[in-house]
Amino acid sequence: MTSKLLLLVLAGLLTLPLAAAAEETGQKVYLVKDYRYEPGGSTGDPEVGQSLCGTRCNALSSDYLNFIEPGGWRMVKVASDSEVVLDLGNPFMQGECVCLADEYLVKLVEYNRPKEVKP
Amino acid sequence: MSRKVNHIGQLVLRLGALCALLLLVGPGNTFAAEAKAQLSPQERLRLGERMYREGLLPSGEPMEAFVSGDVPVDGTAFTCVSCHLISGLGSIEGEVVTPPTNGRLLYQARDSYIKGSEFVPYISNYAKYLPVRPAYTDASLARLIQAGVDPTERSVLHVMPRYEVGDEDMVLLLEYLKALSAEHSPGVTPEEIKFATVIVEGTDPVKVESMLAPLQFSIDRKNSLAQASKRNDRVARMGYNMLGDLSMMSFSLQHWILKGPPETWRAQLDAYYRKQPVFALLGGISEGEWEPVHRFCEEMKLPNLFPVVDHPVLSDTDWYTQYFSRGIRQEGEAVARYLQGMSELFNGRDVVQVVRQSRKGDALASGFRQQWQVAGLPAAKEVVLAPGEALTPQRLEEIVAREKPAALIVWDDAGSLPALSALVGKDGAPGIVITSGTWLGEALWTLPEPLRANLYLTWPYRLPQEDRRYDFAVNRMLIGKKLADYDRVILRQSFIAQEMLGKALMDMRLEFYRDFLYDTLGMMGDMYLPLYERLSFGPGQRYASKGCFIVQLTKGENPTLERRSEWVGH
Repeated sequence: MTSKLLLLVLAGLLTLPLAAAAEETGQKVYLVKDYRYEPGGSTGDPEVGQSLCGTRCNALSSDYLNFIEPGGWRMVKVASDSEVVLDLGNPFMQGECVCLADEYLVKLVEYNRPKEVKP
Repeated sequence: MSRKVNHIGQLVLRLGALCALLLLVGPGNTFAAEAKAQLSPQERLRLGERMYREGLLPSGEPMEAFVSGDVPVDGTAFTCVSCHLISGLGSIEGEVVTPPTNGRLLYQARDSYIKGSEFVPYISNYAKYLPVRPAYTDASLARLIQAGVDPTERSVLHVMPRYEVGDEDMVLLLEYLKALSAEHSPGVTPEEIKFATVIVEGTDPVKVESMLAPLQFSIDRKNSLAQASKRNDRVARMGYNMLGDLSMMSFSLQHWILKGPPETWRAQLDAYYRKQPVFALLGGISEGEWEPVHRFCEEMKLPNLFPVVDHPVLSDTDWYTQYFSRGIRQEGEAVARYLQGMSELFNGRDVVQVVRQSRKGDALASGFRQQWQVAGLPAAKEVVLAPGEALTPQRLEEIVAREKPAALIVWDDAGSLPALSALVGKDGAPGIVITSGTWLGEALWTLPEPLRANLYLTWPYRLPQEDRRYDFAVNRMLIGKKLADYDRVILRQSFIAQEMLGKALMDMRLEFYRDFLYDTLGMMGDMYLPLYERLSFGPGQRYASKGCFIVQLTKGENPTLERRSEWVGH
């Protein structure tokens, strides 16, 4: 009986992170740490591609210092070193940019949030 | 005959002038003592100021300076002003605190607290950084400057150079220090600080109200604290702990309305100022000219914080007007920076600017042209559209067919959108087409779907979807009125103006000198405020936002802007 109860508690504990993850619905932001150019079939200068990927990947990055919310906020890291693949998006050159980024969820702190801005 | 006499007369005059010059700059003769004694008080102060700010002796020679005791350096590179700042009230950079060097404070003993503000944390904490010392005298101050030893016999040579300054020149420098930040600036009394805002008559009333609302809210909020402090001891204690004597002071904001043509504004500004001098101008708004106000502020040494103008006066040396940015021109500069990164891919094809002849068009095109030239790239071709001349699809197609540009930049309003739409998918269309997102106005949000994937836009603000989080702070200032009734950008700009003023006044330690207001702003780090991705301040920096995004509009009914570049800055 006791062991069944323990198993039940254990199963409950194991499912907790999943439930918590399902509730992680904050805004996702990236902090880009590195990037590289993948030319694919493109014959363009890889150095130019690398430079253009700098602009493309850095544009993905969010400046977390911009976050200001009444009541406060926190950033929860949900993945490290994710590879986010973007099209180079340049009309003169093909290829892709692989942006190495940490992914965060911005969680607003609701406890101190003033009434007038609560949804 | 008379011509000959004139000739001889001119020769004598020139010889005389040469002799006078030789007397002034002759070898070994820095500046005759007798000549200095005859100088007017204004001239003596000017020479003292030059030593303080430029490191030049009255003779015009650089002051000799020595760091670490005996390592010679150029005094013009180690000037007094670089650490003690224009106001002479010192600086704080991280952990390094440079003490004030104005006569009023130098000739007083310094304690570990500031008398009268012992119990105001932010002021008393500052005082604790500085060593205690007796009051300076002329002799001990001269010794500090010449030998690097203070009145407690402590050497300051590890943080400050010593200067070779002769006794005569030293008298001039000390006179200047005694006059520096000696009395509070006009517009300040122990009870009140007066401000004004300049409004050019004829400006859109919604824009004017959007500029005024945050400023007036801020002034009213400060005045209610002053009122409440007078009536309630607990509020007074709380206010005093936060702000010291500033808590009991009230603020006022006059409206200086400028009427008629800009040539007449100077006289109107003079009249307003004569009637009621103010400490500083806050905000201000004009949809056209601003230069007369800028010049007035320079001449009167009157700060103007964050006027809302499209065309700020651009100067590397002017001091008294702090702008949000370099104006719409900055968008042109950003496009040049963005394109120069990919210019190697253009295969010799040109860049073409199509420019609507107008103040906005000229500023945008000029910003692009100048930055493109700085990058060492061949000049872009330009097609000018006369005022009223329509940019039809046929006209744009002709331009493209003739020039075959790799990149097409169109500096025009939303009237250009049909022509830009017609280019989409055409053979020989440019690889990239860019226009000003701000000049399109509200039409930006309803760009035709096919155009969205092809048109790049400049956007000198934070992306709107990322700026919404500041709505609460801005909305709070409207006291129940709707955010939608105001100009979103101007409301936020004015919010920034009052925030920065509040922060600066608190950091000024009750030293209300106009130059110190700017010295204080210059010591602030990067700020994260509404509207702009980042605002940077630094000594003498007068254009706070230095960047711009290149963006595209997403598909769908509720599109957003997507970054195609990082914050392209200069």
